[in-house]
Amino acid sequence: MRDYTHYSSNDFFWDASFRQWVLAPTRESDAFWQQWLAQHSQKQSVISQARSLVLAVGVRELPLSDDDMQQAVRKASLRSQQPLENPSSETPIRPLPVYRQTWFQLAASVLLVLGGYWLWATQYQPTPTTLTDRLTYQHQVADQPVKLVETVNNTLNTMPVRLSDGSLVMLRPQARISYAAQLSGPRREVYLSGEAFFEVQKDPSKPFLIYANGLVTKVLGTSFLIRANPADKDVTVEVKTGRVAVFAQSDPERNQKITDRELSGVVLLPNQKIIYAREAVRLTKSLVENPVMVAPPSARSAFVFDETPLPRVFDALEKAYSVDIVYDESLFANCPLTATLTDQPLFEKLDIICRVSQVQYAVLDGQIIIQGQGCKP
Amino acid sequence: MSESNSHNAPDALNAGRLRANRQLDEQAVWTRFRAGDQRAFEDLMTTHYRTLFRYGNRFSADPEFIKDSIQDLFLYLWERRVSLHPEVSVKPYLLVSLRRQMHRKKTGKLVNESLTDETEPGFQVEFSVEEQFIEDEAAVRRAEQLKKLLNTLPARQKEVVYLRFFQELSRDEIAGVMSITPQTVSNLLQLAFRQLRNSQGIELLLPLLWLVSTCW
Repeated sequence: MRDYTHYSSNDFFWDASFRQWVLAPTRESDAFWQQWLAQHSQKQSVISQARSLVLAVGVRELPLSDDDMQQAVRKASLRSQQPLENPSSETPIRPLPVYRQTWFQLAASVLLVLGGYWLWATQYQPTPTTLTDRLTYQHQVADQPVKLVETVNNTLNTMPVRLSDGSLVMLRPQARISYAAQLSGPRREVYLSGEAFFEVQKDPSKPFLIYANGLVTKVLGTSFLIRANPADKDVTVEVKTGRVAVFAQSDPERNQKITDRELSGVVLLPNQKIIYAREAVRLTKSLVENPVMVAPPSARSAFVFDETPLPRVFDALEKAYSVDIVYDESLFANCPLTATLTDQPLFEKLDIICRVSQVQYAVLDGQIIIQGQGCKP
Repeated sequence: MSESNSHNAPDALNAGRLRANRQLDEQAVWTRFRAGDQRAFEDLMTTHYRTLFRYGNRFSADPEFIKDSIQDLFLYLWERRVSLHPEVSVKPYLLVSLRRQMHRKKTGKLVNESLTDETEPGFQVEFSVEEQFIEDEAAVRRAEQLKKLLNTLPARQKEVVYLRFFQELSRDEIAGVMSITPQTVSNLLQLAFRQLRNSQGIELLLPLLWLVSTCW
């Protein structure tokens, strides 16, 4: 028999029976807890605090509907009944020589037609002047001074592509990306056509940029999905974890946005999505007027501190740079900071904070750890 | 007067009974699966799909990749059903296999290649606060504090806490999934709670330790 009478709300948070009642109550558990509450009405507020803790503190899970799940099971069941083909995960499939596969023969004839048109369009027409055309995948890649590596997904499944910095790109069928073999230089840049899911390695010193049909997506380290199909009028970006910034490639401030250590443009948070209309970018104004792309207040004013407690300072840095700063909140809660840090890059900001507030910082596993004596109130 | 003990929280005894029943059922489905029963394929997959999906989410944020991997896993097992071990602890076995599957797919290795020289990718879990469930500022701060503490736990403790409290795996199942002994699971949990207690400066009650060591 467990005596709940002296439990604090944190204690209830960790209690299996309590959690089950809050998250997935049964008639039995509900009866028990309602009765207990009736007998211990003085615990009403503790219980309701604990209840909101259980509901609020958890892990953000990807949604999965019952329908999706049933469909997945049905699909797998059907596949399992097909005569043994080469399983994709076992022995590597030795494809028929390309010229013998029927799809190639068909695609070849189609390709010829398309290819013909393309040749005609570029060779015998005046060079395309519309912005949209210039920002297509082919043109972007062709314009690059350095020869890029291209990976195309011609399979029916998602194809993982690992880049030299450790980032992972999950190309959907028919998608393709181009990138420098060694992602050296001040930025990591990738060109995308089609749909792909990105898991970008954290590297605040080298922003990761994806150019797709006129939209630039900039990240420091996160995961998200981009849909930039050649035939689509829109480009879609959906964020799963971390934060990304998007802006139009034709944006007059784009060079600054590209090189800034901070994220500016429209910043997307996890589970947010943006749809960018390619054609509309012809008129820069209409892009700004689009309600979805409201420009955030300049990040610069966020770095003027006047007797600001350190936790708030660290918060502002975390948001602007998309980094994790680990520190003991109670230790630093009473340490005020007065400083203007707008123009320095991140680590210089930290240096100043450390000198003024007498703390040290270290970077470990992509996180910034703050240590110090703290301040007695 | 009803049979059920109105003083005891309906957990320990009932949960134990339920778990035992569930294990018998799982063994039955597993046996039928190995025998090639198509229905068992669907049952097995349906029963464990959500757990696998959530676990897969710890290694990738891409839902399509996770779903593809789960499908690949079941097709792979189905093909080899004859050589599967007749008595396994099904859930941990599936979870570990999925993890391995996803790692191989990401690194482009074949299923039969040995993983012994590699360190598998980190288990990633990030705790978060959904503020819409909280009504007052003080509670928000408390939740944020708890979240921060959870997120700064060392990796293995975080994994154990997640699997125990947020995935509701039993101690033995966690031991199977993490390839450690059940005793180590308990030890990791105790370390985690000690750390949480010290950081919060609040005395978590002794009953909590009882919870950790005996109730399962």
